[in-house]
Formats: sequence, structure tokens, C-alpha cells
Amino acid sequence: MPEDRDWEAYKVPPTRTPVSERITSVPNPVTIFQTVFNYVIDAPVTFVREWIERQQAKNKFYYYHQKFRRVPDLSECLEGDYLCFFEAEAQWRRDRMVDQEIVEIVRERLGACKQREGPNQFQNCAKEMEQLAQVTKAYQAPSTFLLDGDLGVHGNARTCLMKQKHRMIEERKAQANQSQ
Amino acid sequence: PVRHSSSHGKRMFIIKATSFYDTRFLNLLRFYVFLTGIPVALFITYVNIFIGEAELAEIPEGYIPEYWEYYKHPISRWIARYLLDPPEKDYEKQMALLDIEAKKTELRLMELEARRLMRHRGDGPWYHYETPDKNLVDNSMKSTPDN
Repeated sequence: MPEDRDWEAYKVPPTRTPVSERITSVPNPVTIFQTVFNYVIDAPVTFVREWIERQQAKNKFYYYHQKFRRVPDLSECLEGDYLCFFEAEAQWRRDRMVDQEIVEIVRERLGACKQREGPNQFQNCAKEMEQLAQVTKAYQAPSTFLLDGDLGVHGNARTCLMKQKHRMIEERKAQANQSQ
Repeated sequence: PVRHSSSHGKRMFIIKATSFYDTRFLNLLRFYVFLTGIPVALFITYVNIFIGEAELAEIPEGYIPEYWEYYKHPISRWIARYLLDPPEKDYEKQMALLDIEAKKTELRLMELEARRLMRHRGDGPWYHYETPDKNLVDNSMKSTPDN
């Protein structure tokens, strides 16, 4: 059964539905629906689910997220040392997957904010927009050696390093032109 | 009296193509699929209800989890534990293959270089060609200048 995400990590702002006054004496059909649903569907399903959980709680076991050790980067590998290349490449791919997930989470937050705010999204979601802009900029233009976006699907650690090298060469050229 | 009238109409002998082979095929298919499908489905239901999936936890201090404890479903854990190699061993196997191939490329490049140098300098054990003995050469056609 998939679990809910961690609600404490990103708290949704409180809802702003107004409290309504009772005008008629006709009973609210929504409450009738809710009680019917509760007795017919909700209670048996919850009972079965709790019975299953009691069976599973007898022998619990856990799983963990694997922590990988850091290995020397591609920029610290000697030329022709294919084993070092392999390890640096594996580490670079893991880091790229992590960064893709980070970008995805920030994007989802912006989408949720827009959905919530509706017409005043441009004013109230400025923080999330700023966060997304920062994260995508860091992802596409690698300043550290890790993040990258423009390499596409076939990018690997070596192409990322080459791209970074070209960027640094161009920066140096621009600086030299400026100082002249 | 026609076929579909409400009082019993004429009895018809409806001629259509045989469905014997089709029904036989579908019956056999159902039988063989369910022969192993139902035990497998029951086993998986048993595992999911009574054993259940693992819970995510932080790695405790000073404890290194075994390599199968990184999976959630109990059947995946069992497969990783008893059927597959640990990922460290897989990693080392890949690195060993890379190492062998790297050494092979290195040796091949060195052989090409050695061959080039020996051919160029002529002082190595390779590139010795048999030439005929100089005493067998017949110089009679060039012995006088008027030939």
C-alpha cells in the first residue's frame, strides 16, 4: 500500500472555505451520503486492512536507502585509467539521477502552488518560482562538476567535463576581451 | 411462423462455421495458464498479506546493512539474497573485464609500435627477409659496356 509523503516537509497552507449558516430545515444530503459511505464501504475496508496489518506486525523487517561512498571524480583520474573512469562515471550518473529528482520535486511544488492559488498565482508563488529558476539554472549550467541538463540522454561524465571546460575557456576569453 | 416470434415459431437448423477448434483452443489455454497461474497468484497473495513489505528506516549507527536489505518486497529480497550475486561482486566483475580489455589494448598498441620501429630501424629480430646469395648473381650481361 503506498504511503503518503511526509506532510511535515512541505506544509500546505490552511484552506479558506467559509463556514456557512443553516438556512433550511432540510437535512444536508451530503451528511447522509457520508454516513452511508462510512458504514457500507469505509468500515469493512478499514477492518480488513487493520487485520492484515496485525498479521504483518508479527515479524517486521526494514529496508534502507543505500549510501554510496564518494570516489575520485573524472577530473582527478589519470589518463588511460579505465577503472577510475568507470567508477567516476557511475558516481556521476547517480548524482545526475538525484538532481533530476530534485528538479522534479521543485517543479511539482510550483504546480501545486499554482493549482492552489488560482488567479493570484503570479503574486503568491514567487518563492516557488524563484526556487525552480535557481535549481534549473544549476542543473543546466554546471558550476560544480555534478549537475547538467543540456547533455541530453546520451550525456556521460566525460561530455559534461568537456562542456564545463569549454565554458571556462569562453569565460576566460570574454574576460580577456573585456580587460583589453 | 418466423424464427423470432413470441409463440414458438418454426424450428430452424442454423448453419454456421465450426467453433470446435476455437473453443478447444480457448479451453486448453485457460487450463494451462491457470495450472501454474493459480498457485503462483495464491503464493504471492499469501506473501503480501502475511509477510508484508519492508518499512523504510534510517540506517542505524555502526550497522552496515546486507546487500539484500535494500529492497522492499520480500520476494525481491529473497531473490537478491539467494539467486543473484551481491552488487559489490557484480561491480568487481565489471571492473575486472574492463581491466583485462585495457591491458589488451595496451599490449596491442605496444606490439604495433615495436613492429613499426623494427621495420624502420632493421635491428630487431623481426622483418628479416631471405635474399639470394651474391655468388649466384650472373653479371655477364653487364660485364661489357656495349650490351
